[in-house]
Amino acid sequence: MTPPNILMVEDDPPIRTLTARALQEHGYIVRTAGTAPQMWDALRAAPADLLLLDIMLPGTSGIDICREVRRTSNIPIIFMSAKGTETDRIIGLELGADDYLAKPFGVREMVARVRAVLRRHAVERPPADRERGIIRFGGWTADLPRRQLLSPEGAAIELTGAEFDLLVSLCDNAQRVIARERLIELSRTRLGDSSDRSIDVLISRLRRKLSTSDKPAPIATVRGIGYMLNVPAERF
Amino acid sequence: MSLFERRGFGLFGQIVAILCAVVLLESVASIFLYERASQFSINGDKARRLAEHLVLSGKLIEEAPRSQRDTVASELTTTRYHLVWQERLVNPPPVSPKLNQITRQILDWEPEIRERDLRLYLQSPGLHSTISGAIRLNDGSWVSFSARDHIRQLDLTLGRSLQTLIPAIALVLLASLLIRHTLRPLRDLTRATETIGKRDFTDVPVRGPAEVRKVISAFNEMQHRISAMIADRTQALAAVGHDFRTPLARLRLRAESVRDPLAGRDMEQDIGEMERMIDSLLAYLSGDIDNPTEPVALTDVAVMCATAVDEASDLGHRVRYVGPDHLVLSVHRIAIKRAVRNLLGNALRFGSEVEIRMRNSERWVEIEIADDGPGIPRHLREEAIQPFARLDSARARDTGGFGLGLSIVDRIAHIHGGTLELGESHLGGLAARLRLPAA
Repeated sequence: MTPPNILMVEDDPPIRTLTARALQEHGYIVRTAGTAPQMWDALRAAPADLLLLDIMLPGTSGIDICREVRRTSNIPIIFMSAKGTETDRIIGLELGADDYLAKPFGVREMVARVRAVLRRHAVERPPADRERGIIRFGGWTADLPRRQLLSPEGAAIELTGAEFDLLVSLCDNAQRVIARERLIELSRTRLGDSSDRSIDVLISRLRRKLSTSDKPAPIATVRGIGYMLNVPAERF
Repeated sequence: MSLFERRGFGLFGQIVAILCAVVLLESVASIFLYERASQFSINGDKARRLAEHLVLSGKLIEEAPRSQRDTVASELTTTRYHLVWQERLVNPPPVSPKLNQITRQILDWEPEIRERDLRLYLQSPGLHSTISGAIRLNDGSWVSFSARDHIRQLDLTLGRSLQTLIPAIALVLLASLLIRHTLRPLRDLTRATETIGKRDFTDVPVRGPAEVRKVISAFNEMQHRISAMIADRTQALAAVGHDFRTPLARLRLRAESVRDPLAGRDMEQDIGEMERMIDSLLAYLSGDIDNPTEPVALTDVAVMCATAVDEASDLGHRVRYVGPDHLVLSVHRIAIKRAVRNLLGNALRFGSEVEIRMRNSERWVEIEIADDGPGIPRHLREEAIQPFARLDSARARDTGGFGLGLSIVDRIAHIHGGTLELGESHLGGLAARLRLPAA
């Protein structure tokens, strides 16, 4: 099996070199480009398994490139940006990027995200859907790109990354029991916060945050097996 | 003038005071110097002359035969005294107060008149009053008289004073109103000067006297210059902050290739600190804090606090949340999240145990972030909220940041109509209380 082939678009030469070296050390094949035209040339020469895209590029911005790429391809994309604002992340994810890396990032974080995105693409089909769309369940609304949950009365409910991911896993398997082991596995394929909290703790937190004055949270415990979202969930 | 300044009178007060002083002095001078003096010095003299005149006239008319008495009386009439002989006493007009005091004075001087049944009245009292009166002759007929030119001396002092004072008081009042009006633009200017830098720069309307108009124009121009200068500096500083990020990004990547794991970890920490400083600087400098682009939206602040606590506790901190499970407010969500995280970050940096407590009353929702750290002494709390505050105390040492965190939280509280307060915590350290108006 050949190692994954990553194409990185970054205009700052030292960062380009450093990042490329770090990825190579972790066993990836890395090609680099400094501008949009260089990237297109590289893509024509050989396909890539993952695109690492800087947002602030001279000429065509990373956001424009992403829009362009998404027209023809489902290739996983991770944005890199020095801006680090929430809006950047949301725009990127809404345009179909798979993840977002805020500069300055460390090698460990970058490698972990690259690995998670690649694994997700290999495991799940259709892969890009994981971060896109809206899920509705029992009056609640989960906005995936914004990673935001709205209560039935429309109030924003803030969750930790791990809690949100767990909730999405429950929604994806609504009204079906998911074994604890499977939930742990699912949460490992994703990189939320570097939390190693047990699933039970996360479930109990979710229950508290998703309860309302008249209704308990729509999460049922199936003794000895696992958990279940006990309302139907719809994806939009 | 120096007295006024010391007492803290305003310009308005000073001008009115001067006006009052001048007008009062004038009134007092006229009342005392002229009215009173003439009354007192001349009164005795006048009484004597009147007495003499009456005694003499009485004797002369008495000696004349009845048929001639009219003629004698008119002959005795001088420019001052008017004399008329009458068969019997004619009653005085109704409003004629008796002048008992003067009567007594005359009697003292000329006891002879005692037998003549002297009567004195003040006729038509007011602006044109005269002394009139009568004496009885031996045969029972009367000589009545009126004194022509004693009006001024006998006018009642109090009434006279009031008459002088009323226009004076009215003038002072009118002048005060006019002065107040003239000084109003100056007051506007003062207010603008007091708030300069606290709020947006707004021009003071140019009006009022020429000098004041000039000052206001100059002030407005100064405001424009300051505002432009601040904008320039802010932009430059923000650009510097942005530019720092790229070398920082490189540095972080390089730091990971350092062989010595301990050195690598320390470098990682330093880089993290620099990052946080740049983040807070850019947040502070972007107008986003005072004018958030993000609209207000319903937000469960209780869950927000609980989640902040969960994340910190996942990272291994001793931190807990005490409060309701749900509390929905209409706020700028990202701003409030930033405020809670800033306060929690501070608490975690200085304390080993942290508690977020949420309480709500009818009017307020209070989020208290308490720690068991060193706290901030009472006299430094105000200062700690100021931007770029560096407290020279245990709390200030090895803090990561420019001292902008609390200032940012304070401004976020402010745009929500709330407050930030620093106090003592039940855990022994600092308690930062963020109060927001209840929905």
